[in-house]
Amino acid sequence: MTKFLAQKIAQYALVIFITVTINFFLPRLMPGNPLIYLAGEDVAFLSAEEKASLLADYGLDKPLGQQYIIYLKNITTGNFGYSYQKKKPIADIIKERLPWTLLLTGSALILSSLLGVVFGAAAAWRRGTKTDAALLIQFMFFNSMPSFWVGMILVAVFGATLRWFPIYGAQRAWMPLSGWAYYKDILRHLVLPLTTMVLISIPSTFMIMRYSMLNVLGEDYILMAKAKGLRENTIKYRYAVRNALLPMVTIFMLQLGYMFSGATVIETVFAYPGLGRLMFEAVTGRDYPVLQASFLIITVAVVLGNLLADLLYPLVDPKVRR
Amino acid sequence: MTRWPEFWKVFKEKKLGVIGVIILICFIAVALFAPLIAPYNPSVRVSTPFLTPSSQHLLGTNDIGNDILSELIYGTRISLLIGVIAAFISISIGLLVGLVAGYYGGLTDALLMRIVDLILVIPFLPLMIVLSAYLGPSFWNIIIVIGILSWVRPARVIRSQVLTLKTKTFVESARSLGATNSRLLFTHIMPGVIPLALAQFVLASSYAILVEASLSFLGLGDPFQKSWGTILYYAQARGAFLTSAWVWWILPPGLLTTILVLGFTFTGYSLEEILNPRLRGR
Amino acid sequence: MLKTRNFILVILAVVFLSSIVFAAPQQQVDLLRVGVHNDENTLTPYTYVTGSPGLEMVYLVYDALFQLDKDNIPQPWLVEDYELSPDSLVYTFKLAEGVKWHDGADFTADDVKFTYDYLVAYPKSRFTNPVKRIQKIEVVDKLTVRMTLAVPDPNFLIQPIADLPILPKHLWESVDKPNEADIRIGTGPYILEDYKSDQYYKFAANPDYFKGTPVAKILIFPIIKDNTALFTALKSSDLDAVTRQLTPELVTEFERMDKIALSKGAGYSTTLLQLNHEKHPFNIKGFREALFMAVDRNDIVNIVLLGQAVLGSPGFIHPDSPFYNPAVAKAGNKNKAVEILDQLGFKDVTGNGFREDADGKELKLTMLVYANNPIRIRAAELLTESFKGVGLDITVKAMDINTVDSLVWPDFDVTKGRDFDMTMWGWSATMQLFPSRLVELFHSDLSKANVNIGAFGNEEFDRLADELRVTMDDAARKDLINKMQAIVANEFPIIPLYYENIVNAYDKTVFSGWEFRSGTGIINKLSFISEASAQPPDTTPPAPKDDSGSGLMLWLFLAAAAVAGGFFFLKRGKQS
Repeated sequence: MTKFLAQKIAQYALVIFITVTINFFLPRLMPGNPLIYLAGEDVAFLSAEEKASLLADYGLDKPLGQQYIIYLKNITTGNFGYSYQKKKPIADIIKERLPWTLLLTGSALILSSLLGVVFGAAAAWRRGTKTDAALLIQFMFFNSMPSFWVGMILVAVFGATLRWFPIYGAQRAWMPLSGWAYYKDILRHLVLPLTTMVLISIPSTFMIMRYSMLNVLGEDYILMAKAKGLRENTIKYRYAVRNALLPMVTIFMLQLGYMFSGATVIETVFAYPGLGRLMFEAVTGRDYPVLQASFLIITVAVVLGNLLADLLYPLVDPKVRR
Repeated sequence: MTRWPEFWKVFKEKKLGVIGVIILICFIAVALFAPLIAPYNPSVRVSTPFLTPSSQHLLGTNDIGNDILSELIYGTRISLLIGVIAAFISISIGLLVGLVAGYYGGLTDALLMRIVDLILVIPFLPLMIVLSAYLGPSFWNIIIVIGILSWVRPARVIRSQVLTLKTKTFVESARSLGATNSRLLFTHIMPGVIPLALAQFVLASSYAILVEASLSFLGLGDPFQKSWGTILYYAQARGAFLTSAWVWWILPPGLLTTILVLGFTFTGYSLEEILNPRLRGR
Repeated sequence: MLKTRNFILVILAVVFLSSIVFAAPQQQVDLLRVGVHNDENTLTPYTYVTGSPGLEMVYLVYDALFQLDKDNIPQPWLVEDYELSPDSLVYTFKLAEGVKWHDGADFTADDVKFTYDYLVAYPKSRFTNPVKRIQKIEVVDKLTVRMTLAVPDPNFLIQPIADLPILPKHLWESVDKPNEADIRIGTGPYILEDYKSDQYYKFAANPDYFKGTPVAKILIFPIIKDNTALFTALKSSDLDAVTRQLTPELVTEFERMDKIALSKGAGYSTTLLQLNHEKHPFNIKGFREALFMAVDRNDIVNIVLLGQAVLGSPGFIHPDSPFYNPAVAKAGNKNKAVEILDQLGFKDVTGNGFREDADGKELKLTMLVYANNPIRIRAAELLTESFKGVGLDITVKAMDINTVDSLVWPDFDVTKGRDFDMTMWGWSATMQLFPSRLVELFHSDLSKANVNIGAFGNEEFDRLADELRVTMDDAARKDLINKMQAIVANEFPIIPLYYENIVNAYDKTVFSGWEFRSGTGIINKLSFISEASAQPPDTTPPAPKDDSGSGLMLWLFLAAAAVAGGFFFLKRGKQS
């Protein structure tokens, strides 16, 4: 077991290293440069020496190889550098943005998993009935909707027309609130993006839970339990659901990673100030260091998710253990 | 392959699958006969911009005066094409990788699966921008990028199917009779995997269509190939939210995307059900 | 259920009634909320990002020696009076008395000299270049500064005098990293009390401001980058004004709203089709003329901009400018375009519907456009339609901003070359502020003409431009500028398209004292100061407040209903 673990960890370390390297070179392949954000709009009026000194200040004039060594050194010491656009240390920016993405994706993950499990179990249990069909069709419909479009409709109906909920940001920015009002405000801003994310995410959990539950229900021991005359609820919860939940654990871990990058579109539609939107802004602004830092965080999250899934999977399905 | 008639019989019983196929056929028909169905040529400015729906323009006009309904009808072509071609690329790669990884196992498998993880990690959005920069935001680039990034899930699924098939007795007996690896792979295992690949192809199409819509909406697509996502991009950029225009300009393209994807999903799902006996129920 | 609904209705009634009672338009308010569409950092001259709204916000906190009035004419501001020597080289400025920095220190001539010297020591493009033309700055006494130029500069009072905000010497003299300094002390009408990155700015009125009264006690500028959210907030009274101008399609919608008033005026941002003169066939004047003639630019103004723009002038300068040469106006003429192309030998010999080169070679041209600018893309579509109509094979390519910039204006340095055929392009309003910018746009000497991105060159133009530099007499200058415009209009280095009008929307029930500055709009320093003598603002009630109660309750109710419904639903299927 430990040999297996060690092998896995080594493999993931390699993945992170390769990803870090690719992440470094990828932004540099993009044409254009961030000079306009260093000097503001009036870049045209800079002399050649001024532009050069600006480039030197931000380290863009060094040869690529040297930049890379410096980059590696910085990453390992937690120094993510300084942002061109926002003129502040990137670690600070990430610290500001990360919680919002965690809040959004975390609550979406929990809600959609819970709802997916409940509905998935219900559908599987009622296989072939109208309920099953109805749930299936409903969630397939949700799964087919473009996430940004759902967001847009929610914005149009609940935000712009009915004005029940705010459509921008994570909190009312000015005149900061305190205490209960502060949390209520955050909750209000969370409702629409969260609803969008949950609607989009339930279907996959639902399908997998349903599939898993169906598999379990097809097992012999269920038939045995029925034959033994056990009560329906006992069969349902003690045997079926509990066993069906096992693969869900690994799915949960995998989702953890994907949700980080998956929130990008939704964060953009709602201008929710999370990591996904930060990355989009950084890409269009050619803010290299911010781009690298957000890439890195997302990489680590996905790899961690995979690692956890890999660790837990053999515990779940002994047949595929190596 | 003699199992096709039986397969079709089972499929017909799956109402969802039938509905899915019907939806697909409808959309394909619309795409093929677009010039006959659409009231106007969508790239021609036929009227004043921002008209509300009327008998002449059932869905009004967009921001430069194209008929929105015609745009949507012609948009079917783009969305369908992108989805299907990207999915085809994706499945081809996924099939190959899944077969090889699952069958040969060992180092090959480990290496391929690590590459899978790597691909999963590359952020899609920035990569798309790089390609847009070098190749230009064109129709083909979206297809290629979606194709080469989305083969990973089919590969995983096919790989696990291969793992299961590998342990089946007929394979072992074939091997004991001296069949070589490649012969086993292609004559025994691959046929068992093709139906699953088909199901994955259908599902991959739905994914590709959704991704293309998102990219076009974000303005990363080709603004001159008017897919449904592009229509939404202009709708949002030209303030459709702030007026009631969202009802006929934002709602329909998204709805059409949803229904098309649904068509693929129903079909793909039913196929999967058939191929996995456990899901078939008693 | 009923109780909740009644409760909500009562709240709504109270809010509604209070908004009616207090809805009289105000000239001075307790609180003004202006949505700003960009994060402008700490609002120092080194950290702000955009000319508008950024620099205008900097002017809330700082003052310059002069201030542009609503017609863009510099008026004395921190300067009370000034003298210009007969040779136009020496400016003696007498500064206003009793001006204090926000931290209480006195404003003196030392601060002025310090600021100007500092900008040379620590360059900031926009400000430094004009300042460098000053040969000598002397502090004559506590409130008098003398500046000596090497060469007379007719634009001196505009830039840098009415441009460069004055910094407090006692706080900045120890700063050697101006880009990172977060110093918020100025002499301006507002004090920057709070700034949260990507969230908001909060300003408080400077009660001792020396020139007029701040119109609001508190200014809040929430940072909302998304257009839809910005305008929705204005519609729903979460904001009283926004820094973004209304896009053409929103004008009718906002015109209809009772509480919204619109302020319209000329905009100075210039949209044009830029040609690359180093590439064939754009080096052929006739071809360029044919391009111009092929297009009906009125179509673009009416269809794409819904009439909310002024037709581009072939001489580049905006028709509202006092330097505009009306003789250069020209209309398109499709037949003439066809005639010229035929004459030049661009004929369709292969019969494919498109003209080939004079030597029979295929002629395929590309037009670039920023992918994230739908209005420009639409304009580009219309242009190519027109070009195709005269048989020219021109395709549009939409690309990422930075990609286009790197092809058209690599490193923002015109001497580094260019790689494009034609591109949709835009210049910001400052380009129209000085007619002498024509030189920087069209002079063939690229080391001087730092925005001549098409590498255009014309001997006669160069001669006139060189002469302009040494001409001080107003009448002579005007004459030269007229002639330069005429050359530009006849040589077609660019195809001028339009100048988008500025339409600003604001909530007139909250505040209506906005001043529209030509080319900029209502978001400028003058709107935020009233000339009225310092009266304490009266008992104006705060703007109608928000609706934070009802929303959450409704949602909780719905959620509870959904959960209850779900349970009921599941329980129902107990018999399987």
